[in-house]
Formats: sequence, C-alpha cells, structure tokens
Amino acid sequence: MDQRTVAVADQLGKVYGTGQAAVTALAGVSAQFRQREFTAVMGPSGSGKSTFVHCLAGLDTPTSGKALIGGTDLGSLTEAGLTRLRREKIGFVFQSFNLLPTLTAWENIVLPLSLADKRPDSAWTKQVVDAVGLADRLTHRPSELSGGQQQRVACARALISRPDIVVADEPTGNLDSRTGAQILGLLQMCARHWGQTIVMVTHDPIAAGYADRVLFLADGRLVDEMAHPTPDRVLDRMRRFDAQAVR
Amino acid sequence: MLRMAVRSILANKTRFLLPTVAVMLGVAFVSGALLYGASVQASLDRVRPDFSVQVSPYTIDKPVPAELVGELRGVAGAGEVRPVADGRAFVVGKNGSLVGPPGLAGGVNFDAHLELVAGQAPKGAGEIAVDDWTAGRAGFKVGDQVRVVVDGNVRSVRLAGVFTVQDARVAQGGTLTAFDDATARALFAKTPDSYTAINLTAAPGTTDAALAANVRAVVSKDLTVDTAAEIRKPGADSKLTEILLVFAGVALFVSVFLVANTFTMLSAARAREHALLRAVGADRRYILRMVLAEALLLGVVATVLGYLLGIGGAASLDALFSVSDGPPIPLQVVGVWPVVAALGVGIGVTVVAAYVPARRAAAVPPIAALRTGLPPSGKSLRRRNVTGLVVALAGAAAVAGGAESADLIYLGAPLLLLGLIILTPLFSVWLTALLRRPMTRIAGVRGTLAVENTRRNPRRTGTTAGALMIGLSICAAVTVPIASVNAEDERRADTGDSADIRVTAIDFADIGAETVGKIAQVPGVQAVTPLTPVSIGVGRTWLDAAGVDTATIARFVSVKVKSGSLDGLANGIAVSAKEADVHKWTVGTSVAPGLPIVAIFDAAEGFRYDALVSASRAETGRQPSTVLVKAAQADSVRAGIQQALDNPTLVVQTRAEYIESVGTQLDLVLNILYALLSISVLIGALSVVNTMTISTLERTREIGLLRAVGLGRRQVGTILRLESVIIAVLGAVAGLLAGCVVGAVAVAGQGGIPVVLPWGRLGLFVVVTAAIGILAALWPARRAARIPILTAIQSDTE
Repeated sequence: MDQRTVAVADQLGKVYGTGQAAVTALAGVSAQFRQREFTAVMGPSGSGKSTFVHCLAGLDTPTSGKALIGGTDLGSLTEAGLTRLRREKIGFVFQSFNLLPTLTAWENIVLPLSLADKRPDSAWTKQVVDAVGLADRLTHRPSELSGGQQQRVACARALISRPDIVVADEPTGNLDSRTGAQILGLLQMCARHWGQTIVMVTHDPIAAGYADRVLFLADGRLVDEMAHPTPDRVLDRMRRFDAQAVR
Repeated sequence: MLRMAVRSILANKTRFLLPTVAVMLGVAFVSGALLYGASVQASLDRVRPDFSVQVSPYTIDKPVPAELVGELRGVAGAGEVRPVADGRAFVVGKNGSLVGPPGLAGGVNFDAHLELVAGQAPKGAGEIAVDDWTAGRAGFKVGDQVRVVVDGNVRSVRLAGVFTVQDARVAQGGTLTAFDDATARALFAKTPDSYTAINLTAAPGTTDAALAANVRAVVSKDLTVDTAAEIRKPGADSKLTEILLVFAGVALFVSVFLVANTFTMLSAARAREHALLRAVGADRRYILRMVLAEALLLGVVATVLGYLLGIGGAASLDALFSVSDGPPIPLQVVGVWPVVAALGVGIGVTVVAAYVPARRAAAVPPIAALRTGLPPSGKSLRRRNVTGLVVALAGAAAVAGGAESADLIYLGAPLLLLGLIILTPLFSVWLTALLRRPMTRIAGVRGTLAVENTRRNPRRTGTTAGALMIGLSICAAVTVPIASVNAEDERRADTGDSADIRVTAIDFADIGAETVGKIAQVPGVQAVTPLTPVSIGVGRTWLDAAGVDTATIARFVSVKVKSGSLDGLANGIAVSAKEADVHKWTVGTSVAPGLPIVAIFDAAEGFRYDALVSASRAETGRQPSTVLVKAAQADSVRAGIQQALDNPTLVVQTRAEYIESVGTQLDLVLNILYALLSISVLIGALSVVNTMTISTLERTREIGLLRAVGLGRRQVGTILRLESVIIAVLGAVAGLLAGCVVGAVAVAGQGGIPVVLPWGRLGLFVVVTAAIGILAALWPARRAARIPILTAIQSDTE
C-alpha cells in the first residue's frame, strides 16, 4: 500500500511572550502524517497538543521549525496563499461552533467550495452526504439539528474538498458517548475506505482507540507514540503521565 | 452607581463612540442655531430708534409735505423735529459689484444725526456720504468717485464724507448712502417739496404718547403718527434660526435610533453580566438605573462636546450662509436658552432612547447567567407590523387627503414616515428574501451570508435603515416639489415670449427710465420693448396689462390676433380672448375712458399679462419689470448691453441663460436644504457604521470559522460591505419612496403643476447611500479582517 506522506511537522516550536514572561507551549515536535492514517494526538492539559495541530494546520504560526502540507512549507505562504491552502488542502472540525447559523446544512457542507467559487462534484458530494447520513436534513438550519447532527455536518464540510488532511480538535468533546461514537466511526471509515489522512486532538482514551496510532505530548514535547492503540493501552499510558506528574 | 457607569463606558469605548458623536452633532446644531440667533438679536437690540414719534404716510404714494416740519416744531412737547427722505440706494464697489445685500441698501438725506468721522456733509447732486462700515469694506476714501444706483439709474458721485450711525440696515450688513437734503428729496420723496417721514423727539418731561397725541391733532388724515414703541423694532430674521432648529430636530430624531440601537445591542451582549448581577441580588430597578446612568453620562459628555462645537458652528454660520457681511456680530458664548436647550436635548434624547433597551436589560432573568449561547432572539414581529401598518395607512390616508387640504400633509407626512419606520423590519425581511437568490448568483456564498446576516435581526436592520430613511425621505419630499416647480417655470419661460435677450433687475432694484434708450443704441440691437406692468381699473376689478412699445411688441410676443389689429395699439388696448369672454367685450368697446379695444388676441401660455397697452400709459415713476431685446448675435450683443448699462443691479441674459436660470432658481434653496439634511444623513451613516461594528464584534467566532475554512481577509470585507450596502439601500429606497409620495401629493395639492420626479437625483441619492454603505463597512471590515483566527474561534461571543 502506498503510504505517501501528506503532512510533516519539523521541529515545531511555539513560545508565547518574550524574556522572563516567555511560556514555551511547543518545544520542537516532529512528526509525519501519511495518507490513510488516522492519528490521535493526546496529552494532559497544557501539553501543547492543541497548539501542535493548530501550527500544523496553519491556524497558528510556529516560532521555530516548520510545518509542511502536501510538500508546501506553510511559513513560505502569504496570507492569501494560506487562506487558499486552508480552503483546499485542510478540513477542520472543531469542538463546537462548527457551523454558520445563517446557512442551511447543505450550504454549510459546500462552504469551502462556494468560497472558492467551485461547483461541488456531485458524485463525491453524494458519497459524503450519504456517509454522514443527513440526506433528509440538508435544508435545515444548524439550530434545527441536534449536536451530533451538527458535528456530522461539520465532518462532511471537512471532507467535501477532499483535503490532504482533516484536522479535528476534540470533535467529540461536546457530545454524549453514543453520538460521539458515530462521529469517530465516521472518521475511521474515511481513513480506512477513502484514504483520508486525519489528525485528531483528544483527551478521551476511547476516542483515541479509533485511531491507527497515538502521539503522546507532554510539556510541549513528543514523549511517546503508540501504534494500533486500544482504549486500555492508551489509558495505561495516560496513567503513567499522571504518575509522573504526581511524583 | 455612577462609578460603575463610568467604568462601563470606558470599557466599551468603541461602542459608545458613535452614539456620542451622533448626539453631539444634534446638540451642536441646536446650540449653534440658538447662539447665533441670540447674537444677531442682541446686536440688533443695540440699535435703538433715535426718535420718539414718527409721522409717515398711510400709503407709500402719499407725500409728507415739507411745510409740516415747521408746523410740528410748534407742537407742544416737541423737541427735535427731523424730516427724513428715505429710499433705496445701491453702492457699487470698486470691482463693479454691489456692496452689501441688495435688500439692505438704504439711502437717506444727510442730517446732524449722522455723525461724520471723515470729510464733510455731501452738497449737491454730485456728492454723497456713506457709513463707515461700507467705506471700510469697499475701500472708499473721501474724495473718491463712487457709483451709486438709485431708481435703476447709475450715477457717479464724489464721496464727500464718511459717517457713523446706529442703523438696523447697517447692523445687518447693509449700506447707508446719504445725499444732501434736496437731492434725497428729489430721489426718494414723492414730490420735491415733500419727505417720506418726519421724526420727532419728545422734549424733556413729555411722554412719547403725549407727543403723539399732540402731533395727531395737527397732521392730516393721510398721515399716520406712531410712537417708537408702536413701530415694530427690526427683529432679527429668526427664520434662519427656526429652519436650523427644524433640521436639528430631524438630526436628533435620527440620533435616537442610533442611541437606541447601541443600547439594545449592548444589553444583548451583556445579558450574562446583568443576569449575574441579578443572581447575586440586584433587583430590576438596579439594572434599569445602571443602564440609564450610562445613558445619562453619555448624554452629558455629548452635550458638553456638542455645545462647544455649537459655539464654533455659530461663529462660522455667518460666513457659511453669508447671512450678512455686516459689522462683526459679537458672539454670545453663553445664553440661558441655548444652555438649557442643549442640556435638555442632549440628555433627553439619550435617556429617552436608552429607556426601552434599559427596561429590556432589566428583564433578564438571573438564570440567564448560567445559560450559554445567545439570549433568545427578538419576539415575533407581528404586533410591531400591525402597529406600523395602521400608522402608515392612517398617514397615507391623511397625505392623500392633503391633495384637498394642504394642512393634512403636515399631519400625514410624519405619520406615514413613522409607520414606515415601524415597518422597516418587515421590509428588511421582504427585501432580503428577494435578494437572497440574486445576491448568491452574483457574489456566491458571500452574497448569501451578507443577505442572511441582515435578516438575522430584522429589528436591528430596521432601526439602522430607519435612521438613514428619515434624512432621505425629507430629501425626496423637498426635491420633488422643487423639481416640479422648476420644470414648470422653465416650460412657461420658454413659451412666454421670443426675446433673444432680456434685461431684469435684481430683487429690490429697478430698471431705470434711461435703460430702454441706452439699450436701443447698442450696436446689433434690432428691437427693444419694455414690459411695464400697468393696472387698468375695469369696474371693481383690475386688468393686468403690459405697457409695451406698440411698434415692436408683435415681434416679441407670439400673439394670435382673433379680431381687430395691433396696428392701432398706440391709441387703444389689446385684450386677451379670455378677458374679452369674461367681460363680453368686442373690438371697439371702451375698457376705460379713452381706451378702446383695438384687438382681441390669444397669447402664448407663458405670457402672463391679460392685455397690451402703450408703455406711455404707465403711471409716472412706474418702471419696467423687464426689457426685451431682439438681436441676431445674442451673445455679443448681450456683452454690449452689459457694458452700456454698466449697472450691477441689472441682469442681462440671453434666452438660453434666462430659461436655465428660471429652471434653477430654487436650486439654491434646495442646496441649502441638502446641506442641512446632510447632517441627518451623516448620522444615519454613523448608525450603519455602529451596527456593523457591533454586529462584527458579536460575530467574531463566525468570522473566525469562515476564515478557518478558507475565507480570505478581503472576502471578510466583501461580506460586510455587501451587508452594509443592503441596509443602506433598504433605508434609501424606503425613505425615497415615502418622500416622493409626500412630495408628489404636495405638488398635486397646489393644482396646475404637473408632478415631475427627478429620476436623476433620486438615482443619485441611491448611489450615494450605497456609497455610504460601502464606507460604513470600511472600519468594521478592517477590524474584522484583523481578528486572528484562533482567538476568534476560541472567543466566547457566541
């Protein structure tokens, strides 16, 4: 199986503030993200896991190191280039507030295409909409959808432009476990069947269990990596963080 | 409480900035108008009448005999007796144009109460004296040759002296020219041995009333005797102040919308803060008072700033409106009225506007502190729509009734406007429903988002558009009648006569007796006729006849002679067919003794006289209102006539110039109205800026999300610009529609004048408002584009 590398983090570092007040959020994290790979990023609060994916996805600018998506160095892009990259190469799913309240579910899903003045590819669109199971809700506004449905619309939007990488920041953080499982199953399916690269920040070992591998961050450093995780193994690893923290 | 209000205002500086500016402008308007009015009045009050009793004719055509002066000297209680010969005299400046406003150009006989400051009293017809302010601004020195215009004739005279005087005309920027007694009588009095008035001062111990009684016993019944108190003091022209106050009122009304919108949006944004206060034990009244305290503070700040701005405004009003170029008017900086009015208006407007939002803020339940997300959005619009519809229909009915009785318009127009303002949220829903598809087609999802954002809170959109609507509706309501009248005047001017050049006098001035003769001698002039209004008594009514040159009139006025002939006009009269029908006249009937009808004619529509007679039948002293000239080379001959007359009180125009000037004579008025309304439109524009700024703040997260999924910085601006243009155009269209209806009804009510809709101007208004919309989004768009994506997504402005 061809496992092309679609995203690279090369010694990513982020320091907030200067001098005495400087706070290091990321202290040089390197990682590679290959096609079809569903990666979970875990770590205790303050470990820098969110900062890591934000820098990787061009939402935040690293103070050292670089991030590459599809071979492009994000640091070399202008504002307009970065905007275009976000539109075409990256799909986002946030913890909450993923949808524009004034647009219908359908309009939200095709938003990245509309912003690029592109027409949706009907076969692919149908496939995505069927996968998220919202064919009968497309004309509804977000306020008329449940939390799980809203998050599924957000996933569909992230997938619609066939991005190189989908970045999900705690996508199940606001959902109950059953609806959360639907979202995670959806993401897993995208990676396995559609070859979608996915990076997901989570603090939930069960969520991490859906991933192909888990990156563990602590104090702004990559401290461990686990392939084929299960919730139990992840939980064990997390416990060791807690133990370290206590000691 | 006050400290909290101060902190809250400081914490929300951006949000309070524009409402403060809006109220400040309104207050500046009010206080500026009042201060200016008070200053002008104060300067006029200093001019006291310098007599106790005045003897003057009841009707201006009666003389005040000179021999009466001697008789009055003998009246008991009379002090000084001073005969006056008073009239109009225009002073021509060194640059050839008039000095001072024509309405205030006075001429008088020189006597001791004019206090010489240089030179000597004028002697003979060749000398004059002028007041010191006139001499100063025109740069005249004693001994200069100066030209003056009296009775329409220019005369060059020597400036013999300069005097100082307390005179209402001079105080308002006019001129006063003094001639020696005989010259003044010859120029101004009815007969050379009479005057136009006699002023008396009372001897010590005699009251004005007693002296008046004594004088009354002596003078003839043709003359009226008044004490100084009875003669109305020259009041300052309070019209300017009144007009300014009306427009200040409009501006303040518009400000109400801005302030109300700000407090509404602020209350929504701070609902959680208020709920927290409630949760820890504050009652509703506390929250209400807290919000009102903020309004009060804002009002005070705006009033103080506005008052200061008003002082500056009053100081520049003089120059701005060129009301007078009189001696500088000492500006009153503080007046009881202006201060009270400014405070009342500034604080009143703010507190009243904030009251409803404050009550709404106070109604937030404590539990809302725990809720996340948006507070429940506005109630149904149904009640509001019904109210608006009823008010608007009542207004429309009254306006429609205005075609019958003009008074109803004054009731109907504001009602209609108010109803429409109440209905603006409904319009915004309609308009945006209509716009969604086309906007999406034109601007893609950016268009959809812009339209949806304006729909999101119809009340807010409505209030914002309403602020613009008011100014624009008044613009349209004044433009339509003026455009209609202008168009009608132009049409009539075009058909009135066929003169190539016409000579008229400016207001207050006359065409002198020598004028026709001078024009006739200009090379290139083919024919000349005066048009002198002559009133011919027919039974109890009067016939408006034009006194003309009987030999040439047929070349000027296209008259269709129905019977008789104009050939004998020198010895008779030609009457219009209409008058002939009314009086059942035929050719040969004598209209008046010695005035047989020689012809009956149909004249062109624009010719406004009923009859033609020889100019020689005009009473002596009656001057032509117009002189008509035929010439092949109108442009060069016009210049020749101008040179020959060399009189700045006469206007020489070619046919095209005349028609154009008639069609635009109200444009100055219109432009002044626009200038005044521009303040209201400016406040309306600020209201759009305000709404855009605040709604951008509220939507920080949405903007962050859009940016994350690939919206460029510039596209953020596009969305906001579209949104703000939609709001602005909504206000413009609703306002212009309402204004056009009111204006059209006002015109229709006058009868006879067809309604002309000035499409060009109306289109321009829409374009200007669209531009206002784009400009209004400038600042909010810059702010929105600068928001870092991550901060936006993580902010809690949901």
